[in-house]
Amino acid sequence: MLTHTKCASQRGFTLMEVMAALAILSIALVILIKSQTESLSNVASISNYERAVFYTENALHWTFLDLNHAESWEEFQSVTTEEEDGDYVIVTTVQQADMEGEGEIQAVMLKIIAATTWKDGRHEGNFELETWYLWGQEL
Amino acid sequence: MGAGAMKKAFTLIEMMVAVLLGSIIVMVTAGVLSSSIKAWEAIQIRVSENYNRRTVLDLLKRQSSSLFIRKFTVSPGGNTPLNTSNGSQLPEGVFYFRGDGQSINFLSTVSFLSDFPGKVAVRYYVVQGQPEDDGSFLDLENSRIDYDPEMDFESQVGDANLEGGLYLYLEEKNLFLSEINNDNGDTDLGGGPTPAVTGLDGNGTEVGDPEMSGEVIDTHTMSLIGPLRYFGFRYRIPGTHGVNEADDESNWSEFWDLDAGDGYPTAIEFTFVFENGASEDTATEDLPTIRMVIPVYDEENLKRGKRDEKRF
Repeated sequence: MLTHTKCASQRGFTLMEVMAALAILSIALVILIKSQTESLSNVASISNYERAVFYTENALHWTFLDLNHAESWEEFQSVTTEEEDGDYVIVTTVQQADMEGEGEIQAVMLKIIAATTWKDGRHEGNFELETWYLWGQEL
Repeated sequence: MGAGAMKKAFTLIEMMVAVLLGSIIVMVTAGVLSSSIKAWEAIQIRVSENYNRRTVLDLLKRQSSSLFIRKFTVSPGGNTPLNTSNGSQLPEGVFYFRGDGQSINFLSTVSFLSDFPGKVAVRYYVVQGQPEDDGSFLDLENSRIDYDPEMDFESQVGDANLEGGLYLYLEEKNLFLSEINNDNGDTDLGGGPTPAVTGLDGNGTEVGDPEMSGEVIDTHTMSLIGPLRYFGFRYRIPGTHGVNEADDESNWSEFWDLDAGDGYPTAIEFTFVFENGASEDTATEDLPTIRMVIPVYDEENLKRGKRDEKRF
């Protein structure tokens, strides 16, 4: 009887215990692998984002350049350009700012918005920059 | 005997299976951790590269946006360009604006390599490779040009053919420029004191004081970024560009000299082609490229429509 009790206390793990241990181990491994995969995809995302920032800034510079010489700003109200075979789409819009309540100022202020969108895996990335441009005085 | 049997140790098979399972678990875990560390390192390198690119582009942008614009008393393209920078006002080798495909010289109001206030003569160029510890980068292939004032500018222009292992260098010469009153009737745009200029005005009358010349206070040089597969400049020819007009080569010049009498370009374009650890066999066109266009805000460039019409 004594022998039997000792034997029972030294028995191996049950199937349930082993399965629970394996499940915990699997969850830990899945979490590790998932975080590692995310890190790798973040490298690509950072790079894509950085390129989008360059393209957006450059689109603003182009708009300034075009407006510096344009006869009228209206033709640049909405300009769409593509980079890298359409991977990045940049839409630049020029709107006349509302100058009401600014006294006798006759200046035309333009609000320029450059918005870039790109495919980032299953998501769509977007980046936007906004600035102002003094078109000149309304004669 | 029964109790002894219950206390027996693991069998060889049990031990082998346990060790095998343990090894697999350790290997998988180590592999995952190793990949994570590599990914982390890659992110750090990429972030650092991006930060460096961003800083250099911002620097280029800020310095070229802060061009010290030379005023003309005769409109560019007129019969007699005034105030040549080959006069005694600017020190030798310093130019208001002169550039070719892989180097550019201009006068800026922003200095990055020193705290000295005032104008700075800026020069950007590329060097192929990195110098030895005791060597000079100027012994390597480079696009830096010491222009000979006696020779024609176009005959000295580089052909922008350096490719691979390029490092972008910035050279700054802090200047002390004398000041005079510009009494030749030109309109001052309110941009502060006019530097001393000498030369002949439209009537052939000498203006400025040839004795008051500029002086180089200090020179600093720094390598900014590299290695690059290619780095180049282009200069936009003044002219109206409609929204539906495609931008093509005819809108750009590979070199520019202010003294040629055409005024300033309306924009400068920088092209960076990064190597990113790509092999030498990778074509330049397949490498990541960044083109940045920086408008030049010269008074002449801000006239709407035709240049002789109303100003901005």
